[in-house]
Amino acid sequence: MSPRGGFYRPQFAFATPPGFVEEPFHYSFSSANVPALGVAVPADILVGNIVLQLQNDCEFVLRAIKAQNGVTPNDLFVILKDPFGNYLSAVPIPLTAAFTGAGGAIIGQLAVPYEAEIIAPLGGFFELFFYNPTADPITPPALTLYGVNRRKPCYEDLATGKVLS
Amino acid sequence: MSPQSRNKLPRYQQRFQIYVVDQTIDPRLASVAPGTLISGIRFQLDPDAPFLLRGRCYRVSYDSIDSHTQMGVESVAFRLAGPDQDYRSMQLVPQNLVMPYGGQSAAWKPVYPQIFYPARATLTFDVQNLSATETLSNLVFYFLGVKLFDFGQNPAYTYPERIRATQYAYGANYSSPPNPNNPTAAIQNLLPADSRLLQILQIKNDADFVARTIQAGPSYAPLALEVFITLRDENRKAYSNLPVHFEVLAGPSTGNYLTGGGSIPAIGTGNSLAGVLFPELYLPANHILYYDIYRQDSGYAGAETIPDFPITLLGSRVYSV
Repeated sequence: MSPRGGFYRPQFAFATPPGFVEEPFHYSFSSANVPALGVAVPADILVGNIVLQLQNDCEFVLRAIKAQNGVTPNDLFVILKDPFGNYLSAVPIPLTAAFTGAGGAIIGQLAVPYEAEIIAPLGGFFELFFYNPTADPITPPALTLYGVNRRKPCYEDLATGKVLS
Repeated sequence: MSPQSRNKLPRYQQRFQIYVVDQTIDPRLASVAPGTLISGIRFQLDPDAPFLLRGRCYRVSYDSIDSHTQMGVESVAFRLAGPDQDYRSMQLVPQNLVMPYGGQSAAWKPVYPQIFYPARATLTFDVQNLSATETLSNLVFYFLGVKLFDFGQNPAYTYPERIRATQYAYGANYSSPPNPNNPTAAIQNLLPADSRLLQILQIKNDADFVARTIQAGPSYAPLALEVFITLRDENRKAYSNLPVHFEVLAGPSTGNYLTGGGSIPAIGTGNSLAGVLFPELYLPANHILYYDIYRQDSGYAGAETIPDFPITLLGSRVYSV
């Protein structure tokens, strides 16, 4: 990437690569499919390597995250690790600041844009690390990852090569 | 910097700046009685650079820990003059018609088109309290924008020719190597009355960091009410003339706002919509960002020490390739 290309652009001004199609997709992770999200984090303890497994049928482009706390803020701190092994913060940062949108009490919680997008490979996974700075155990929230699935088109007009779907 | 590189740069180097006008600038803002009109509040801008005004907001002090409400903030009327004392509205305009939450929670009221103030210009405005019952306590106005410097007057760190970047965040108390007794790199044990000058964020030694947004404040009790932050560059030159309230600078919104029939928390603002630093702050590896933090909650009944007051700078790590 070259900075001469210009960082100052509209949010998510990313074109679909030629030969691919994108469709809205989201992953929801809770104690139902990630048991570790149902286990309370003890006081002053870091719990790590909670795997958020993605599907292996196509790339997932992460563009927003929401920690689903209802109307009560969750006091855990969090580190997110991307599918390439990069820790995305130097220290655990407040979950309520990083991934929790406003308005939960009234209009439904807003998702938190994740900019620039992260393109996760087929079968990749994110990892979560939770730290509890309080004096009481805290159960992690469910999380939703919003974005698009990027894949080769399913149908193609063999005569023209035009993508039909 | 080579002449070729210099030719690619814009004429001026912009620098993030917030001007604060409070009771230390004009004592009449300390307490504004119901119905009171304060005209001709004047504030002289810094002499070092012109200023482009691009956003504004205002606030009053919270009333109490339990209520957590800024009484009367919906009753402020305001009118602003340009650099030639040219008022930009005929009458004072009720600000609750112009912006929600007084433009706090980093939801600044845009000033568009931007207003150019020369160096050492005088910023003039009038204020009226339209409430029939509420006194405005510690009324403060914030003016957001950029200063315009010639290149070379301030450090002008920027991206290498070719880079790779990943999203990243730092706790503001991070130092390299990290302190094992402060795993979240938060401000620890912030007293009800506290002032800590020249605190340090040191960037790791393996990559540059560009800070684009800032978040601050705990989500759990004890919450902060009157906490103020001054950001400073590595030469300790401040990005504001006075400390800026953390909810104005960094976007959290723990308070309640009166609706006429009750009060509600802010909608659509908040920590997850963080305060934007524009232009972004480019911090090379190993370099330091200074900041001051002040807390003035000792006057509130029940105020407690905050064990961990987080300040998070979000942006990208930048690797040269």
